[in-house]
Amino acid sequence: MSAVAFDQVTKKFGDTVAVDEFSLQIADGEFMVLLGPSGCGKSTALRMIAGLEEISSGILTIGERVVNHIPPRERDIAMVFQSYALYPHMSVEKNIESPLVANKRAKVDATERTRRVHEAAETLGLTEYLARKPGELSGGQRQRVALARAIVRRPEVFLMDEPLSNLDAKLRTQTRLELVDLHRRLGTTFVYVTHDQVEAMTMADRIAVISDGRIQQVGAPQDVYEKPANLFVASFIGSPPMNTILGTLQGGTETAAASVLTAEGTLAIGHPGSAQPGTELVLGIRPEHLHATDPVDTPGAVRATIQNIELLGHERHVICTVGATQMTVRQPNDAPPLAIGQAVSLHADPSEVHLFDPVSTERLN
Amino acid sequence: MATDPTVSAANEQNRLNQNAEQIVDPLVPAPYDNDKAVQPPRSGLRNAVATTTTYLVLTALSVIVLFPIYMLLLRALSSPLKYISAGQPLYPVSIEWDVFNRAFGQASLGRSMGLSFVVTFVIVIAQVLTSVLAAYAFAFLEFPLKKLAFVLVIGTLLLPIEVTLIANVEIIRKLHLLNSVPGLTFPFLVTAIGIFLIRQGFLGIPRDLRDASELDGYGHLRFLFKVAMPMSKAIIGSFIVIAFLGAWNQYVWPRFATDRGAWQTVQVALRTIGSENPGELNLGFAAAIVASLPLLALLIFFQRQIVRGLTAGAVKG
Repeated sequence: MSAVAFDQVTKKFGDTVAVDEFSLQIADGEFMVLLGPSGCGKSTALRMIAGLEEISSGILTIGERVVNHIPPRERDIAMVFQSYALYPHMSVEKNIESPLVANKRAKVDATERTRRVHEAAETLGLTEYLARKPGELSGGQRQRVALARAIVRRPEVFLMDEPLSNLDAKLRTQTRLELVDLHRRLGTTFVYVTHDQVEAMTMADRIAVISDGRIQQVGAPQDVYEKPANLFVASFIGSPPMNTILGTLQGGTETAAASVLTAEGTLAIGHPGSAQPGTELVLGIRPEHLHATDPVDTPGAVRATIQNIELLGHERHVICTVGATQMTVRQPNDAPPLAIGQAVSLHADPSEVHLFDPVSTERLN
Repeated sequence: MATDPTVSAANEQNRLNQNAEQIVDPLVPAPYDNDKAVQPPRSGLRNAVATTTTYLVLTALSVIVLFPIYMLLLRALSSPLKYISAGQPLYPVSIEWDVFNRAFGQASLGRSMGLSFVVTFVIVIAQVLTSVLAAYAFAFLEFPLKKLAFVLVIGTLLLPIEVTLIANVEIIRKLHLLNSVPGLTFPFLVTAIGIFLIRQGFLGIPRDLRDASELDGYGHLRFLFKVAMPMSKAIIGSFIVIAFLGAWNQYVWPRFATDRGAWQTVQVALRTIGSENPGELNLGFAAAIVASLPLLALLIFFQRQIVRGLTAGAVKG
């Protein structure tokens, strides 16, 4: 078994709470991504699994074992660091075999060691670089050496701390695919920390979105994207981020459609869930669910002025001002042309409008 | 020699960008290079003047540094009586190569140098060992009063040997270690400068690497000998040179820790050679040259380590 479980785990550095009552179940063989901005506590959570940070309170379990007080080397985990953390004075071969040599518990005889090192090197395409030092390799190759060092010990859990951050965009995409493929082949639990939502969306079985040391939402990538639990998740996941605008709910029941009165007009939405008419709320609309049309003052739409148009080749982002708020519309490139400074009406797909409580920021519909 | 990692990375990047480069339109002018535009080429004459000035200044400084060494050689090779009667000129009056042989044999310089080698060897080995262990503790371990302990260790640098001289001599005498290798080496087995230098080297090891080694299963001693020391070998190398220089050049302590001629180290022996007979003053100069040969060899072989050690931490990177 190699499931990982946080049960009310807290980590404090002096008076600062880095991780606040974390409770998370990571299933055996799952690819779990901890996603959040810098300083949100995701790396601290990962380092607690590794045993590199002590736990202030709560219980952390790997498999059946409570590991709160078990030293890192006895946890049967492997970690890949953002900086790769390779031993610069050792050859690639020595780097890969180091967990088998250094750890008395994992020690294997020389023949088995050589076999495993060559197997790992072959898996990651490093066979021809075994005699080289890390300084003689490119960033991508170093990253693969770090991965080989991790897989050679056959751990119960792989931990990865922003392993792609130092790679250029093209190599990052390629390595992302390789990591997903590696996870499929090994079937081991992966816990992966990143601030990059694209990495999270493309690799994870499930994502745990973290902010201010707290888990904001846990779910499959598509669920988190389509049903963000609060305003933080809504604005953090998605690029360009979700548009938000303040308004007052008008009409509607749990099953009937409603509209929201904003400063720049009334926007038609779907059924508002449990929200009562007259409630102040924040509307969230993804750029692809917002549409700009030419005649102004269309019913169920808000008035806007086009501030800028960003051409991306396959699509374009129309950035509009709605009163004091900025909203982005994602359009295919072949949509009718629009001009900067033009007045337009913005209307949303009613079923794709998200409603949030402006005070608690929690989702309402 | 390891290939520059940035070069390897750049090569990989170039390979990756190859397709993009192939579709560059040859009719489109290359982007304007600002760096080249703002730096007008220096004229040949200005270059020549700058180079000449640099060489003149460096030559003048070299003469200032080398002049005392030249005079040492001059006085060693010249018969004292002939040299003084010629009015002590800046050029040799007579050259007597035999003086080195006489200095080595006659004044038991060989024996003193042998003793100095033993003493220096013991001090260097002990200082490296104690410095590495203490530096490891100060760099990687957490223990109560760590900062205070480090300040106290570094504080010993402020105490010149003369301050503790009497107390140390008393201790050595009570331990019956006068005129012995332990007596000559005891006060120098631990040194704050070594602890400080090597600690700085250890602190340069990235935290991720320390964490990775912990996960790999390295214990403290294995991490020290397999990772920390190999990664800090430049700074340890330069410390070895510094320790060797200090130990070889010891004068005050050996004067007090010995009272028999047979236990004279080389620097103590130099004081007496040639000083008894004014007609053999050149013997003292020759002995000084012979005594400095090991240091010269050390500097030639380890000059890279010395420079690297002295500039360690001075330049980011």
